[in-house]
Amino acid sequence: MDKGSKPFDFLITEDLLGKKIIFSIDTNLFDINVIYKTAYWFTEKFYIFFKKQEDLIIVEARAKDEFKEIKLEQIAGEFSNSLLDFKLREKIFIETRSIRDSLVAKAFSEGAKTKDIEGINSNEKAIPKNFENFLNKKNNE
Amino acid sequence: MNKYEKLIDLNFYSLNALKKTILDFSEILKVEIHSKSNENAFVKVNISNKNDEKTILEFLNYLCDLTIIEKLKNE
Repeated sequence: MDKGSKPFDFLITEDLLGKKIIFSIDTNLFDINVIYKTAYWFTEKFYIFFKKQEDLIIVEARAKDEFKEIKLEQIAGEFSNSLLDFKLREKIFIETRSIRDSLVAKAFSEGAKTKDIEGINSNEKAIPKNFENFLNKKNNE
Repeated sequence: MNKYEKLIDLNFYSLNALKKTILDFSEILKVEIHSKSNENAFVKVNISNKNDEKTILEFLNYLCDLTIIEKLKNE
């Protein structure tokens, strides 16, 4: 892809390994971790390769044999949509971080207050001793 | 015999992931790193038959997966 190409210009081409689609992602719009997360879900069905070019990440994608019926343009489209999904998840994750952290902290602090087995004091006054049973112990009291 | 060459950008891919991928594929694919810098590694693979093409793609995908796992595990 030429230097200065716009993000998401799709290009279908062929090399020694077969047909592929090439498109770019602007790293000013999508964080690198968002791209990693998106890619992770795509490597199951497609062959993905990345290269970096200044502010762009260039993606090369090909369908695996068992998914050959999927059009190359469709792969790029699905990838672009997934990028948006993951970007939104990331945004929500950051926005709700403080609430989530306080919920987790509260859950752990309540768990810590509970006595473990060694700290439990048992009142065993009601348990019958020698030659007593529950019935006559109750009568004696 | 065809030679497939790929520039692995180490700004995106992890060097550890590349090392592990080469090691894991060493039995089925002859991969050579021809030049290396802090920013990229030049990987060359000889293609002698049709099966190699698919294996190279698997190699690149495996490298991608390992990199992602490595980069995201610290999150």
